[in-house]
This record gives sequence, structure tokens and C-alpha cells, in this order.
Amino acid sequence: MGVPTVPLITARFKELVTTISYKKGIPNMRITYTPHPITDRPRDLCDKYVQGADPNTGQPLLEEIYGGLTRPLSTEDAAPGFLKRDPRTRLLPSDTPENLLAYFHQQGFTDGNAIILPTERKVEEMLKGTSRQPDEWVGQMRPSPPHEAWYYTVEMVAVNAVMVGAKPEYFPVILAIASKGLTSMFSSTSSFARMVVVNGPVVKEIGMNTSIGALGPNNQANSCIGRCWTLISKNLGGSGKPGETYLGSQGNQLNYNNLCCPETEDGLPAGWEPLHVQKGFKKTESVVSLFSGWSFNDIAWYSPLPQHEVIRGWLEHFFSFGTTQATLVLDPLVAADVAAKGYPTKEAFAKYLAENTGTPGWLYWSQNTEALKQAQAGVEPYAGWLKQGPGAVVPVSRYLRRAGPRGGGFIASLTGKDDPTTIEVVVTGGGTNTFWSGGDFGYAGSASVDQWR
Amino acid sequence: MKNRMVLPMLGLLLLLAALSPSPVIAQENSSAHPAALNTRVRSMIELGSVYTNIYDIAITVVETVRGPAAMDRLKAAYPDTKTPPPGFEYALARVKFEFKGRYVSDTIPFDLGSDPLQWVALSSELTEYPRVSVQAPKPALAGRIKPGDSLEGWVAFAVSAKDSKPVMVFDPDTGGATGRGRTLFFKLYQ
Repeated sequence: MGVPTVPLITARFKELVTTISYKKGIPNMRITYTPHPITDRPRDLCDKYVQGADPNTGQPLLEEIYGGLTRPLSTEDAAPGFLKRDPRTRLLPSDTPENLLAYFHQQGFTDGNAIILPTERKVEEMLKGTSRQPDEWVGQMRPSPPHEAWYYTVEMVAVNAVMVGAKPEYFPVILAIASKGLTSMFSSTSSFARMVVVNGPVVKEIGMNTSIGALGPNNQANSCIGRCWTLISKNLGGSGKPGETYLGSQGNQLNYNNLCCPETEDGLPAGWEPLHVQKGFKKTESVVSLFSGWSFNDIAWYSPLPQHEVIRGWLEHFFSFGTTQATLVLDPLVAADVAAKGYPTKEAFAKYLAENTGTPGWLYWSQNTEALKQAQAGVEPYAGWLKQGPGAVVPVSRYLRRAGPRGGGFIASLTGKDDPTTIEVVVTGGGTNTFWSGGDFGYAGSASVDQWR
Repeated sequence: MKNRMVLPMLGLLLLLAALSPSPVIAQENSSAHPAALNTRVRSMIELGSVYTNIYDIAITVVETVRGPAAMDRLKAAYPDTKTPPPGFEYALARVKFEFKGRYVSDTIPFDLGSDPLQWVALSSELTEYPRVSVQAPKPALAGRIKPGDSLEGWVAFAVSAKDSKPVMVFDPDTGGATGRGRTLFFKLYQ
């Protein structure tokens, strides 16, 4: 609003900020770049960056900022501009299957695994899985919130469904996932992962595996649906191009299938509602629910402690990028054991966990600098907690929701209703063991499959 | 030999067709093709913190008023309305905004009119007009709306009196929306 400004951005985000500046109609915005990364890098290195040059222009960084703030705007600087995309043809020229497969892989249209070539005939077959029109608009998707959104139709989603080998009867589930517009390949440097849980009659209709090995590579529907989300993200959501629209330093193997599984509704203890019912849908509806996180642990451990206490202990010490949310995936045997210990609903169990887990001291102090200052100044109860050392557990839960319906922090999840905890519970598996899984996944939203039939 | 037989049948869909606007997406709305009066433009916004959910919107400019007529309307509503800066005149647009969640779990409201960058006037050369402090006539396009609701009201701008084809922009990165969807363009003229 008339105040000279020069954004200072790390060089890795040049493509992103260029896109944003175009979208805002100011393509020639003056931007200065530093080398990347700067997060968690030594201070003396960052000082060198500031004293050094913009890696894009070679100009001294501070001089460039000063010049950007003081130099009058030229006509070129002030010229408006908006992103324009050239239309592309719907069909590729004919070629041999070998050449076309090679082309798809070279273009990054795949996840590196084999695909089915999406011929017009195969796509037409896939479209029979829905009553929606091929040119109907399904959603928009982007690699991360600041990126440009891409829009896609039913036919475009069908192309990707063919590529992963989906049957037409899976297609409404895939469309429902696509309708949420959430990329599975989020363009963070932190290597996000996603999870999709399917509930309702569609699970049996399409033969999803709710039993032994539900989370493994054992079922066509489980595998194709999860995999398709990633291809949709790459090909329709502009995501997943390493170094450009994907910046996860190590990447995440969960992106191959997005932990796609159905909930074993038949195995829920009495009183435990299926996930989709928890989220406000009718039990007779078919629904996909999406989650976002980073890591997932399989807890294969026998203990003399009851399961709910083992889970509580794990949750207290579990540490990943997402430290304030968790999703537990319990085998039906474990769910039954937990329910038998006095937890009549998933929500009751989540509440117990949230209210009875503290935070490891070293983690608490690293994330609560204001509390640390008070502790160092002798203010109680912080000072007492600090005295116990970094290995002690601070009695502050990481899993109680502290903000309004939009969540309060970077990883606060949305439930659409006033959920007091950030813990979700899903039940799946075949009951061959009392093991369970969990990770730092937060609920991201649900979509009706029936609306896409 | 087998491949040769297959070859004529392989008409493959080009995946990155997503880059081209679909016939039903925002009616090919762009800075080069701003929507005309009474054209309903469908689009999407994203609400949520990091985990955004898509909400459907439709925007229709149902009436535009400029110059003395706009000033008369503003004065009638607010007698203290100042005259626009020299060389400028007021341009009013009555806009219908429709807002819809997709699923029962989509319950986040959307704020209309609270962000000065939500509705912006551009010149016919797409240069942003300086914002002026003027109160839109009642009903103003302002307020928090829930999924399923629609609101119709006025927004007010000052544009160059010589500019016969100013454009109004809707920025989807406003009103509580955290995603940055498609910027939409509307003609501020008949």
C-alpha cells in the first residue's frame, strides 16, 4: 500500500514466487534471493549469505535490497501481467506402445512404476463407472497453497485411473478423492505423506481388503485407489516435480500408495462409530477421508501393560515433524482390548490419550521458547519442569486442540466440528496379532463417494 | 508387426490437458476475457489451515453504474460521500456471490468485503487503480456467509473517467480462504 518492499526469499523458491508475482499481476516485482536452505543452518553461514550475493543475479544482496527499496519504479517494473497458459491438445499423436510408455515416464507422468496406457477406449470404459459427464469439473489442485491451481475434469481423472489399472467400479472413489483438491505430493521441503481411508458400502462393493494385510500390497482396489491419488497429484495438480514443484529433501515412500485402506467396520467394538460417521456422514454413505502427516510406525511389541497404556506411552514419546497430531490405526483385536478397558467410543479413547500424555522435556523446551524464558526466570511451574532435565516429561499435552474451528497452528487439523483432540482412531486389519500402527497424521477432510457414482 | 497393428488404435489422451481450461471451468475467465454483465462465473476457493477443502463459488455482476449516476446513488446512501479524485469517477458493481460446500463436513464460513484486496478495479490496461475510501451503497457486498448461502450487494471503486473498459478482479486469497485459486475478472461496463 505504497510502502517500498523487497521480499527476501531463498533461491529454491524462485519458481514459486515468480508464479505468485504473476498471479498478483506484478510479474516484475523486485525480489532478492539468498542461497537455500537457511532453516536450521549455522548462524555464521546465514551471515555469509547476507554479506554475499543474490545467487540469481550475482549482485551483492544488501545492495540489491537497498536498490530495490529506493530506486524509482520504471515502466517495466510497473507493467502488469497475468499467467496465461496455452491450450494443449487432448490427444497425443499415435506411436508404438513402447515409445509412448517411454514418453510417459520421461515426462514424469508416472510414479516410476509400470502403467496402463490411457487409450480413448480404456478411458471411455473408465467413464462408465460414473454418471458424471466427462467434461464436468471435479476440482482444483496445487503443490502447496501459494502455487497456481490446476483445474481438472472427470475425463482427466479417468485418464489417471486407467493408468494405475483401476476398474471402473473404483472410479467414484477416485473421483471423490480428486474432488477434495488435496495434493498427495505437497511441495514442502519436509516430505509430507498422505493417507486415505475408505468407509461405507463401497468397500465391499469393490472388494477392498479390510482384513489381513489391509495396509499392504495385497488388493487391487486398495493399491490402485491409493496410487491413483499420487498420479492425479502429479498430472492434474502440478505436483511432484523434484526441484520445482516438489521439494521434499528425502521424499516419502508413503507417497506411492498413500496408506490407502478401508476401515474394518465389521471389526469395530460396540459403540465405536466408523470414521465417516464420526465426521458427520450417514453410516449408509460411502466416504473417503483424507489425512496428512509425515511418518507412520508399525508397533510390533508385546507388553504386559494393557494396550491403551502402551499406546499412551508411545504417543507421549513419539516424535516426528508433526508433533501435535496423531492418527492411530488399530487392529480390530487391539480396538476390542482398548474398548474393554472402559473406552466406549473412539472419542473417549482419544480424550484419554490427549489428557494423559505429556511432552518430552527436550521437545517441549525446543518448541516453547516463551515458556523456556519464564522457566529460566524462575517462573513456576516452568522452572520446576526445567529443573527435571530434558529427559523428563513435561505435563503438557500435545494433542489437545487449543484453537477454534480453523485450528491454531501449522499442522492443526480440521474436523468441521468441535473436536477437543487432534487424535484420530481408525480400525483395520485381520486380527492375526495385537499390533497396531500410528503416525503424525491429521484429518484433512472427507468426501462422499456416492456423489460421484 | 503386432505393434504396427496396434498403432492406429492408440489415440492417447494427453494428461497435461489440465492446463487448458475446461469448457465448464470459469467460462474461460481470464484477464483477456473478463466476464460480461450477468454472466455467472463458477470457480472454487479453498478454506482451511494447510489442509484446505474446496468450496464452490459462483459470481455474477448483475449491474454496473458509473459516473454521475454512481455518485447520485452514493450520495443518496451517504450524503457525506466525497467527490472522487480529479480525473476519476465512481464505478459501482452489484455482485451476486454464491457459496457452497461440497460435503456435510464442509462448514467453514467465508468473509465477504473484509479484505480490501478481495475486489479490486483495474484499468483496461490491467493496471490497478488506487483504492479510495468510499462506502458502497446498501446492501454492500459484505458479511460472513455460510456454505449454502448467497449474498448480493454493491462494491464501489474509483476509476479513470476516460477509461471506458475498467475491469474488476476477485482475489480468491481473501475472506479466510487460505488457498490461492483462480483470480477472476469481470467487466465493469456494459
